[in-house]
Amino acid sequence: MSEPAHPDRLSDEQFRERFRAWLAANYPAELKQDSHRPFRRLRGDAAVAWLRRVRQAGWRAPAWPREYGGMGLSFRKQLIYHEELEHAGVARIIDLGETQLGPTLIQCGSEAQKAHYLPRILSCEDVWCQGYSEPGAGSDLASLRTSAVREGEAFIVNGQKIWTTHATDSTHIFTLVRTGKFAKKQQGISFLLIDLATPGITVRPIVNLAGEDEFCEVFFDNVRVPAAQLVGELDQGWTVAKALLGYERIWIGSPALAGKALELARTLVEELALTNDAGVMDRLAQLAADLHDYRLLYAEICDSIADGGKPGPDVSMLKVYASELLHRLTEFNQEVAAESGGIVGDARIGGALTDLHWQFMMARPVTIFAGANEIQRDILAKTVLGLPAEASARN
Amino acid sequence: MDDISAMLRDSAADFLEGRHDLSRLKGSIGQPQPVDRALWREMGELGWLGLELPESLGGSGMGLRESTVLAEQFGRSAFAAPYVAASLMPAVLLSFAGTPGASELAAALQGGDKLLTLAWQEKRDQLDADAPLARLQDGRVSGCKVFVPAVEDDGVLLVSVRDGSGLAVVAVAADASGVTREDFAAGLGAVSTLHFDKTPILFGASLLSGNTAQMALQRTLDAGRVALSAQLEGLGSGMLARTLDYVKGRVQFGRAIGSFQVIHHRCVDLYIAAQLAGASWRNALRAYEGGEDAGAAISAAKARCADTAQRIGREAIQMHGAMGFTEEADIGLYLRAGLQAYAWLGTPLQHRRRFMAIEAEAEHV
Ligand SMILES: Cc1cc2nc3c(=O)[nH]c(=O)nc-3n(C[C@H](O)[C@H](O)[C@H](O)COP(=O)(O)OP(=O)(O)OC[C@H]3O[C@@H](n4cnc5c(N)ncnc54)[C@H](O)[C@@H]3O)c2cc1C
Repeated sequence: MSEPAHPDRLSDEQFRERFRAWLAANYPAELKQDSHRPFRRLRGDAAVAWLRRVRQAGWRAPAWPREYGGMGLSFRKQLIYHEELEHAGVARIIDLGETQLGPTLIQCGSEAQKAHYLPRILSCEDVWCQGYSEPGAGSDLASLRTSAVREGEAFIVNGQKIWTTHATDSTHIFTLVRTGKFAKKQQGISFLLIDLATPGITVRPIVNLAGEDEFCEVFFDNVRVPAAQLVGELDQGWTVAKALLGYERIWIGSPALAGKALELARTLVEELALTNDAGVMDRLAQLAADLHDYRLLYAEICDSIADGGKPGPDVSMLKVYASELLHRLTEFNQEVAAESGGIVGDARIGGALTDLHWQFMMARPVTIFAGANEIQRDILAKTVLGLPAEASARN
Repeated sequence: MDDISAMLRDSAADFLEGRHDLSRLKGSIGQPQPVDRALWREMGELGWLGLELPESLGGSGMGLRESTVLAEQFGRSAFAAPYVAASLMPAVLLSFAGTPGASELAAALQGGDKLLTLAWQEKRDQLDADAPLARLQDGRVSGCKVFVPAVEDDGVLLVSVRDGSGLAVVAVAADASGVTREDFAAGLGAVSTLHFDKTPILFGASLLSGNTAQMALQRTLDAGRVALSAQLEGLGSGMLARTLDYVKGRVQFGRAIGSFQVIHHRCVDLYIAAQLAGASWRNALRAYEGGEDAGAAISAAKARCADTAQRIGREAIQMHGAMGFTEEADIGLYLRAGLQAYAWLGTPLQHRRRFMAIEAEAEHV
């Protein structure tokens, strides 16, 4: 039952029903997102175990073409797929192999790279993290300095990456490294695949404000990387990395997290017996209406892509709005809970087990990563509104 | 600022510079932190504990004004010692009590030997202390108190109760029989839920009762709210100062990020917010010193300062980028401290409502 085989032959609604039924029968209840962990993530062994189960049942890699082992879903069915994950309360998994590296290799990789890496991503034999940011290169990513110098059949890599999410849970890292010096700093960057077990690599986890050691520093000290690990042309890594950016911003603008935060908000006002407090309920109504309307905007943009459009620069607005709505929701949750909002860790509120500090802190970085909102607004102002650049030009 | 205040401010700044280290608080998210007792005793040696105690109880006769100087400085450095909860509020409360028990407690407070803390609150989001459900019967207390800060095993709890004739405040040893306690990490410290089951009181009699108890509790909460407002404004100003330093030093796109107009404007807005907060709590302080009708001013200040600290904290994290999301950077500790002080002694929502209610009443007479 619930085999996804030939999803093309299913109507969208049939597809939705199948996936919903499969998730209901297979996703472990104890791993669901709930009022305690509304943005629960799976990582490490738990993530791999679940992804293998997904794979076995034929639901892995919805966006990958079928020839590479994916489901080859239409964009519309991909949307349904994500909606159903949200509906079932499935924890998020940061599976950058599937969502970023795979599509990049399919677009820009060599046949040998595709043949070697793609199956290993699907089976979770290889787990990938993203090594772009550096201490001196955050918003200004193109100023990155980690160097890769060609030496015979290898590159010798030296430098440091930072904020690398889940590096300690990963086997490999895809990086942007500097291979050449040109007038324009976006040139001379290359896209390089590195096995984290290579001698000379040190990974140090960094604890975040929610108490989790999700992101890391990764140090490279004379690390020897076979030249065949270069993706795309030498010095053209910037273009390789940017190829996927539009799609990334669509998924990052998903209203799913805000939806979970709103569920928590509703639970809290019930459990705190505030449903008759007009001031509180006005605020909640505002947030609920904001999410409602945002879902409509999100759907409109997704529909236009499903109908054959390409994600344009205006998708930046999705990330901006969704992330700031998530902020406001988590702030509401923390504030409305009064003294319980100051507790760091688990606390019961009526019948609900909560951790309001966790949800508040975990929502902080959504306006920072994947292009800080200030940068997204700059992009929107320039490319969508056509406003002139700031007087003091960058770069 | 008068001479005494200026002196206190400078000595607080020196003390914090030398003795305060935020890294001590790192790596223990979610674990209730005990009070650093050695530091607390040092504060006693500096004469900071029990500042408000009257001379009759061995105090210096200083007042809330001096305490707000300290509280603001402590906020600026995200200093975790429970100064408002375990020094200022017990001192104000004891200053209304004339019993021998009060003298003994005052001495313990000033020396920093024991932590005294007021256990008045019985439910979430509570503003007033005048109708406790906890009972005193035959010298024993039964009832429940929540969100009580700074409870230490060897501490003394000043518990609001009702006895046969009305409101009273009694002292109870934190480790006395019949006390059960659950600790939660909160902000940079801890709060406790306390259950009392026929717990014997200290000194065999209430410290305060009747109208005096009522007035003492009201003044204690008022003073606590003013000082906490100063501390919250200090937190906000401290975060802004750190953020200004950060954006001046952090270079992206070949320039300090503090040179971008977006950052300019945001920092200016936060600066204005902090100035408003300062004006608001200084007004509350004057109203408190004036004695009567301080309620509206105090509620306005607590609401303003709590909101401001949160707002500055959230923006400060954003301007620090990913660095701001790390436990290594200090900025998040400020934000966490603000999360607890935000609601303690009343949320902005409740205080703004009280502010409006008092204002409306004043217009009618
Ligand atoms: C939780 C988390 C996970 C992450 N995971 C990864 C990962 O897996 N791999 C990876 O490579 N990176 C990762 N990052 C890094 C992320 O991409 C960077 O944080 C982001 O690019 C911002 O850079 P920065 O943190 O150095 O901030 P900065 O660039 O220093 O910015 C600091 C502040 O200044 C503002 N600012 C900067 N430039 C301008 C400007 N021109 N005009 C106006 N304002 C400006 C920013 O918006 C921000 O508010 C992660 C970050 C976080 C927080």
